[in-house]
Amino acid sequence: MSYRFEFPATIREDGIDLPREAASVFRAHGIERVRVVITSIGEEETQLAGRGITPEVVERVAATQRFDPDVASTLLGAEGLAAGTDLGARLRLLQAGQGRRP
Amino acid sequence: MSEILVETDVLACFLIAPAAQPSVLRLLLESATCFTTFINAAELYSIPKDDAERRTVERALFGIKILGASGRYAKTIGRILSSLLSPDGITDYRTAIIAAMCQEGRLPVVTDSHYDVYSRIPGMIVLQGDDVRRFSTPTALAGHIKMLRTGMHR
Repeated sequence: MSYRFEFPATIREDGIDLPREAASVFRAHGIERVRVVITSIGEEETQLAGRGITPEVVERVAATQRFDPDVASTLLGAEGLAAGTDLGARLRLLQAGQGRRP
Repeated sequence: MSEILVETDVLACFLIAPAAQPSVLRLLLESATCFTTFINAAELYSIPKDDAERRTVERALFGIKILGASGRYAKTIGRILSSLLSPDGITDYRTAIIAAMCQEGRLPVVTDSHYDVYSRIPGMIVLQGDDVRRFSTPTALAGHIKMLRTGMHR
């Protein structure tokens, strides 16, 4: 079985650091070896700014949730990501359908 | 400490939020440690139909602390179930398990969709999206959540 994941990573002199959360996702899927494809996150930062998610918001979320700013920006980058899509339509149904259960 | 549990509808709203105003989840993430449960995460994971959609959902849960249930919650779940039992005998295990996890962890819950049912359970502290939005700063919201938690007993 093959999976595709997207995680923020920090490029360092001696390698690449993935956040701790990435390791726990890999462990949950029983994955020990991966192939890494690198994409710049500059575009993502522009998208965040377009929604009013400033670096200060990212820093505040990172501090409050006690995770790396990269993890905070990945999470915050999901805001509105499904708007106007088929997935978004199904999420809206899920949201509307809840509360009508027994 | 300021900690809160977010229901599935808050997570779903986050993924479809319009750009015009910050989502409720964003406001909470700035103010309190956010938890959800394995049930809420499973409900969200039940929606994607392909790998790309699954990645989108996964991203909304990235870093959110997902709580698992424990056998020691059985007594609390049972007590809540009995308070939820409807006249036709339908049992709402989902709500009872999540409510028990809130009470065991002294976590207020944020939801619009489930507000009515949680409000009927003794000992629950329930916030709606509008309750979250009325605070002008993350610090003020954090202080309110912290104050609500002090009133919760295990």
